Amino acid sequence: MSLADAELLRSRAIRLRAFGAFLRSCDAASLYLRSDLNTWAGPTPQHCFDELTTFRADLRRMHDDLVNMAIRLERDAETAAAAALVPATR
Amino acid sequence: MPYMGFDRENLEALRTAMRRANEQLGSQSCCDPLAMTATHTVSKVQAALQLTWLPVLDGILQCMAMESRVPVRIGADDLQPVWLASRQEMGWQIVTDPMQPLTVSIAQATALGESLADGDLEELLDTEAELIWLAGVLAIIADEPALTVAFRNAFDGDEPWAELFARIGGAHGDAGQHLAFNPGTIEDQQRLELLEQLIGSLTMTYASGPHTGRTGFYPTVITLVEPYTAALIVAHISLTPQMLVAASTDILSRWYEGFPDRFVYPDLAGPGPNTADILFAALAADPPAATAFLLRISDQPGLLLRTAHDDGNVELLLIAGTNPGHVSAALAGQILVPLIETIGAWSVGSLGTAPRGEDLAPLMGSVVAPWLLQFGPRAEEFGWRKDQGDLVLSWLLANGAAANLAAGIAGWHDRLASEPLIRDNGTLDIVALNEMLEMFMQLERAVRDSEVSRAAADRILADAIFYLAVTLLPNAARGSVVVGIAADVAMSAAAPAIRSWTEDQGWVPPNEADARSAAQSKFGSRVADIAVLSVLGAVGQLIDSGKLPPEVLDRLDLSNPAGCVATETADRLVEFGYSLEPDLDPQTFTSVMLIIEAVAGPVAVTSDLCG
Repeated sequence: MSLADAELLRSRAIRLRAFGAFLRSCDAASLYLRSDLNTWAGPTPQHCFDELTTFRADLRRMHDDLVNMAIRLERDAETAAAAALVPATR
Repeated sequence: MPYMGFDRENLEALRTAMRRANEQLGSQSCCDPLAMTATHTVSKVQAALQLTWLPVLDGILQCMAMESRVPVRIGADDLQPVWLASRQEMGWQIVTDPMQPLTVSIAQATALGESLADGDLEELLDTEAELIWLAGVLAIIADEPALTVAFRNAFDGDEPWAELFARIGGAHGDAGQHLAFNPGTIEDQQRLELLEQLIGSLTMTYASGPHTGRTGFYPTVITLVEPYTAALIVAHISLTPQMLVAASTDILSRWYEGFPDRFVYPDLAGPGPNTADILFAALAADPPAATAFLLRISDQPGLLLRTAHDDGNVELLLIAGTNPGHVSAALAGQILVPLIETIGAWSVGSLGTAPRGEDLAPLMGSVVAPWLLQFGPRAEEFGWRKDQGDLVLSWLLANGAAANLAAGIAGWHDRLASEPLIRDNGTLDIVALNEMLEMFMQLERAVRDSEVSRAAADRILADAIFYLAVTLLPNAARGSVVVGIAADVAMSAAAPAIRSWTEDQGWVPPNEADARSAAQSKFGSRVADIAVLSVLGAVGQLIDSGKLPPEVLDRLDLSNPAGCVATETADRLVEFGYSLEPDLDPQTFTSVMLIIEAVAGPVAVTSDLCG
């Protein structure tokens, strides 16, 4: 692998981290807070609250997955960079 | 229908936030392949916001006309959450909510329990919407142990439970009667199903919790409510057989006490299902309990025979309680013999509302069908003589039991399959076969003696016996020396060609009109019918397999029998069998003759039939 490959992996990791951060902090992840018993109550509101809470959990899980994948890519990039540098030092 | 309450200002804020969140989700994406799952999740959230929740919020906030979302004013006597009413006082708008509640909190379960235990049930449950809502919530509470405990804690002893059950049970009884007067009314049917569901959830909740009884839980609340409601409770609780019998007997005795001189309970005289109908159906679903119940009330036949509106429930109970699958002949005799004697006694001098014995005879047909051997060759197992069994069978057939008896005989198919007529060493159990044939001879005599002339009954009986004949053969053939004849004889005997031949010959009347004339013109011994059909089954199999040409059937001449039809038929069958010898290999020929000997030999056909 070349240093360019390593750089590509790093940029992918950055994008994944950015997307993960967005998912964690996006408005959809906190909608459930506005759907509680201060706003409305009954079977439909309860269903809405449950679903928004599930969305929040899904989005957080996606954030964690993306971060983990980014870490993996960054490690691969390190490995690739190290491998690319070895012949040069000889 | 449940209610929904909302604060307009906060709900508008939610809608605004939701719109913004939706736009925001659409503004961001990631094209990396590793982000595919995350992107899919985003799409799912966006779809839910766009297609479900924003339209819901728009509908509510723009007051879009919806039949299922109607503004309401919660009254102080309403059962639904009190806190919703308090929010209404704070300015919330309340509308009906088309969605059923998905969850119930502990606090809600407790509050509901307290409302039902202490509140005015007349007011709390005075609308259909409240009943529907309550049914939905109770179903959730009954499913969740923690909620059940919270709900139950509000009830102190049986009294509040009894009041609640009485309210629901009374409504159930009214709905049942109303439906009986207006059969087919969908609204009534739905209301009955709703109340049924309510009783079910309520009963589950009542019966939950630790019980310490050695023989199981006895629902003591049944002593505080009317028998009809008590029966509903019992029908919805999973009780041990002992407790089901005890509770059923207690309820039935209390309900029936004094009848017919005094009518205490309305369902005794009403047209719909009554207390006995409900209890009998519940007992029939638990065969060991059904047997124990029938034994327990054997000295009070009136409790069984004069209570239910639907004879079908009595029949089901008797069939379940005397099923040979779990009841010995001696035990069945203890139940059936006194019952039959009672029915016979009631045929003379019955007055008023009491059913006559003759009216009850038909339902006994299907009940006694599995025990026909005990009416003849094994009469001693029922503690009576063969001639007593003969008389009873004739009386039952003469009073309309033929159709049910014939239908019940179909059950012998399974019985024969499980009662091997072949011994372990591959030889035929002649004693068992003889008993079987004797049973059918007796049945034949009963049919003849009782002069059953109704063509329909005759036709049904002929069908049943045809069925039996084709059942008997595979049993006789399986595993024995009948190597050349497969066990699939029944299929062959039921084949159209053979069936057509039997109809042409008049052995099985093709229709009711012909059955009538056939019954009048000749005395066709059904034992001979069995023999003929059995032999035909075997020969049909050989024709199908190409071992015999179809023309061999021409050699079987059963027309114009001289003297006793049964004996003459047997002789001709034997003669027919020998005529096949040149066409068959020795082993197959021996097999065919074995079958003919079994069904048409001297044991099977006796002069007894020919009087």
